Amino acid sequence: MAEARPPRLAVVTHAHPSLSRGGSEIAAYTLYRGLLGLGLPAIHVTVTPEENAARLDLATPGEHALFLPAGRQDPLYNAGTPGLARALAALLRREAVGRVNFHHHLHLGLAGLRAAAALPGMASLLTLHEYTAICLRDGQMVTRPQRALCYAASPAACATCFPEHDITQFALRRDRFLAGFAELGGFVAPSRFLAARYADWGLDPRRITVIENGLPHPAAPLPPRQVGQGGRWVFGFFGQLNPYKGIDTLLAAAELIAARPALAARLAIRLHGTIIGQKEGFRAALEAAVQRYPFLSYAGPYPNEAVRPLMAACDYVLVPSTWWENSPVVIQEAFATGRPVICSDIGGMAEKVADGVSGLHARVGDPADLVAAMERAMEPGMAARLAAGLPVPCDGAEMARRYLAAFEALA
Amino acid sequence: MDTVQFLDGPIKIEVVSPQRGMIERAGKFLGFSGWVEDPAQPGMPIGIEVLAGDIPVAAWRAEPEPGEEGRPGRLRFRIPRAALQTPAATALRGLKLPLQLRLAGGGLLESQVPLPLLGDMVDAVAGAGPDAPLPAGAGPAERAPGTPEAGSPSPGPEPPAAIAAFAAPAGAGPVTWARAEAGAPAPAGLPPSTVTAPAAPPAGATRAPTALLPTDLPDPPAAPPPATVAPAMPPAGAAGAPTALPAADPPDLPAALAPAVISLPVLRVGPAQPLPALPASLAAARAAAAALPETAPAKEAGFIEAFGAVPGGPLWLFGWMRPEAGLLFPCRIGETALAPAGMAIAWQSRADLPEGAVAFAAALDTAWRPSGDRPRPRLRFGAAGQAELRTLGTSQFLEPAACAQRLAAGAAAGLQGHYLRPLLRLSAATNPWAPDAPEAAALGLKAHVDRLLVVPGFGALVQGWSLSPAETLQPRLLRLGEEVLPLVPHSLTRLPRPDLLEPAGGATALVEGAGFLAAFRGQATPEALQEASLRFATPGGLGLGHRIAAPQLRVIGHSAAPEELLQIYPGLEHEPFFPDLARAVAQAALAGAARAEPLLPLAAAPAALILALGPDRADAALLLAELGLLAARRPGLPPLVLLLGSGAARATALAGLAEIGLPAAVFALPDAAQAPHALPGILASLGTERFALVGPGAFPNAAGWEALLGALAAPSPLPLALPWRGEAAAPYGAAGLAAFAWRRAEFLAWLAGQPPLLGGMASLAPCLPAARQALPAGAAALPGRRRPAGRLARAVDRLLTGGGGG
Repeated sequence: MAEARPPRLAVVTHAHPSLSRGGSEIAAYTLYRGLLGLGLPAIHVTVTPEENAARLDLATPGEHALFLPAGRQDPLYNAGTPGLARALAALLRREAVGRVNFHHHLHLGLAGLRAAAALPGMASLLTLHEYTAICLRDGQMVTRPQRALCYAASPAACATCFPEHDITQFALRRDRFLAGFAELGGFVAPSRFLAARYADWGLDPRRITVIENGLPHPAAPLPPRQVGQGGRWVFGFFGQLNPYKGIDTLLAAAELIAARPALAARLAIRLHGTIIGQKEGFRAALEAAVQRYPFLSYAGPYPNEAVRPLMAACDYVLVPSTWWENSPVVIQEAFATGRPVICSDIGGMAEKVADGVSGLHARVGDPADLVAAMERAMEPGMAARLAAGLPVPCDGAEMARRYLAAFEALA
Repeated sequence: MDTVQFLDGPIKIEVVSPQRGMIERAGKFLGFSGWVEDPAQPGMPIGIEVLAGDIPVAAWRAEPEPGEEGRPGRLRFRIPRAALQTPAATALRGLKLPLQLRLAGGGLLESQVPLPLLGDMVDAVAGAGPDAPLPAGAGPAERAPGTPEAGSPSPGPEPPAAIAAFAAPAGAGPVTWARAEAGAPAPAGLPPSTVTAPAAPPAGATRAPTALLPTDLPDPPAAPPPATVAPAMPPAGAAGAPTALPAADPPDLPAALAPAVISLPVLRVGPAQPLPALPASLAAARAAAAALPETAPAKEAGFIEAFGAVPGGPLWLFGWMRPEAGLLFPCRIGETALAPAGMAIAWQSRADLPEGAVAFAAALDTAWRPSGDRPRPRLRFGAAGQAELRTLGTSQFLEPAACAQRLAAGAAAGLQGHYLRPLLRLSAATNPWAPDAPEAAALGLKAHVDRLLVVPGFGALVQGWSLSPAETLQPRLLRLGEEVLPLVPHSLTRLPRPDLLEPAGGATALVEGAGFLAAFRGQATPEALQEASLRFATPGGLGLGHRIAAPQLRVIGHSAAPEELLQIYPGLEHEPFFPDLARAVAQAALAGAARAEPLLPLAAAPAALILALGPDRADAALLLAELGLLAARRPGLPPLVLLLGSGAARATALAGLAEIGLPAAVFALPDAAQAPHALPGILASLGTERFALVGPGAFPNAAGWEALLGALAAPSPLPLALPWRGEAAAPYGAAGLAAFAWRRAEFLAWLAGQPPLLGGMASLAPCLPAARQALPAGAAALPGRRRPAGRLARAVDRLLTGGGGG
């Protein structure tokens, strides 16, 4: 007698890798491909604003898309729309889906999550990316406008950041998120830190399973570079050059390094990525800094396939983010390439990079401490020692197995 | 030859009066005594009028007495105190008017002694109010001794002494009168436009005036066209006779009247005594008119060609008349019942008029106002109250603007007389359409409105400033389109405006009170708003208009929230006029709610789930999303009825409703917080007998939805009301209006006892009955965006619910 196949699993997410390459959509798609790789029945559902329809490139027959009508975005409550909720429920019924894993609630909204979870026999997991249910500011738990780290949300604190909304609306927001989440089967957090934040916020920690995001195609780690050949230590930055990624801290560190010519002669800093969300004049300031400091270079955007060779050309990967982060893909990619990480000492970064084991910590937002960490990194033997302590990132298949286990645990 | 001056403008005209006399003794108990003579008719009785200020209040007749010694033709008179106890005098006794004697149809008598005041000579008596209109044809209330009984044969009953006094020309101040000879020439050099034949004499008169000119205030009053003409010249060189000026032919005299012109009244300036301003004179004349009889048959004395009134201002008449009563006189006006009035005229000759008649423009102080589609007033005046001005079929009922324009045009075209300038002033001070007073610019009058908040149904609040170096310039009338709104009594507040020091010429004392706040009362219908202007006036009657620019204008409920009223009157809820304002503001909100506009029809909904959406788009999205889930989980959900307030929620709500796919109706209303007051019409239109209403910003929890839907399924005469959950909503907990289910009949009965509240569902005031259905455990509503009632709204609602205005 053949073993019963598990019910079809739907991975529902707010974006598709053909539209954007944020960590959550990469993780969702990696899971989908991992499930397929295991030979399990799965579909992938992208819920995206209708203006993205023309750019969407669905790669497999199991990939579907639902579109949020223009003007129906609701960043405050993420309530969703009756139409999308009905459409998703219909799709899941039509595809005979018995398990649904939501990555993010953006676009689909709580109504979609609740409608799908309420389908007969449906098991549901929501993977929490960032802190979007807790914090209206892109889920980053950073205050507005000062960008100070927020340690706990409250209606009063949130109304201070967003005075355009009433304090009662933030209380209602939390109530509705928790009420909606109560109808879901369980939750996945890519980091313990994020799970703890949601537990502090009110989510039952027993319902949260920590599962690391997988990488699509991890290869074997590369050995450390031989610095003596080039004469300089190379520190690479990868990702969006947005205000939360600590690029300001990095440029300030460059200024400190420039004041010390002997140090400046020993290292190079390479910036890779797209400039997003910066104030006017940032690009000019960056170009000026690149002109001023010979050890600083800006290489611009890069295709995802180039990450490994670009990282391989570095000795360390810098992640000086000034927000908490969750489980940054760039850390996984650095580990997969065999490169230790120098990161801020907070949140998901500090959790994923063990200080002195798989990388080094620097005080968040402190350029001098970042420089000090870079100097430590250049100490003899440090790179090799840290490289030896790097964890092995999981791939899509492993990620899929862990998710399946989480679903099994719901029963 | 007795010559006197006629002072009517910058040019003096000398004319001659044949009559003369002298007051030799006068006192509180003595009355008046002296002599009069009329050389033209020696031995004939001579009428003497007793004037209080401008107003004739009594009359006396000096009779030749047998065996009287003295100068031939000279008659001795003694007017006892008792003769002054007339209704007219009694009505005026409180005004401290100076008494004077005037020869009937002639000039004032000179006096050798100081003259008493009216109040010294007249006893106070109780009587009917001066404004009590007399029924048409009613006779006088009392009759002077010696007058015939009613129904006496021709020539008809003589009026009582007080009324007979008004048969003579009025308008004289402290002046003396004389008569000019027929054909006395007008002064040389008079421009044709200003020297005109003023009037034809009344019927029976044999002479007419030749020239009257405008005066400059405070010149003494000019004479009217003479009602009667003295037959002879006074003796030359008589004491007190003014210097004679050469007379000339009237250059503009209508040809038809020219042969009748034989004399002019001549004024001589008497001792300087301040005259009351025109409004006071009109009021006094109106008071005196209480005793004016209406006798039948009326004697046609002219026609009213146009008339109109300005709220808070006088009644304006235009037409022609035989000026039997002078320039200022009591009269009665109306259609059936006639109301007392005081009337002052400016006049001019007109070629198309019969002999002895003049065209006039007049202001009347009266309670009567034109009403109806085609009012046809008539006016009675004259000694016997017989002279009547009638309305023609072609008579025009003028709008206020036309009143001002007609007066101004008349003044430009030759109106004249002592009261011309006072009439122009009165128009400028009381008619928002009138030109500014001629002196306004020269006297440096300035005014501005900083903000005008129109409160439909109440009027308006105004903030601004005015500067006037000579006397206080106060806002008096607000014009909104065609509506004129008078100042609310005691609403005017003056404030320091140090920022106006420069335009005030550095006068620090002036800027101390240059700012003002004022309230004006009227309907202030926004639909009728075309333009706004504010009319200022000084106590002396100088009027100044200020057109209010559109950016300064706001309409409460449209371009301004009611709370903005507090920016003008920070203590508005304590102002005396607040109750009226509160009712108007709340009524306007209620009227708005009642104007629920159906956007999406629905044939019928015996039970309905009604959802009032506030302006917040996110709240709307959340509510619609939850409704979608509810509809998916609760088959058989009753039809949905959305009440869309103003705001950004419309698109979200309509799209969400379409996606849900349930039978639904949508209504738009200005303020979702007033949803309960919109329900009667909505429930009726849908035939809804039971409903649940979820108010704006209310979000039932799961148990709350179940409770509401359960109550809908099992209707009760008691309401089921969800309490608010959360500390922020605690003050509203008891009201029960967040979300409730009820039956239509009981709801309507409850609503009928609720005043229209400005805060609507957000107000603390309305409260569902305490007897309610039991709530399932945990059933509640959470607040989304709240629009708590502001301070003013709370004050309004407290007042309307009997809690006081403060």
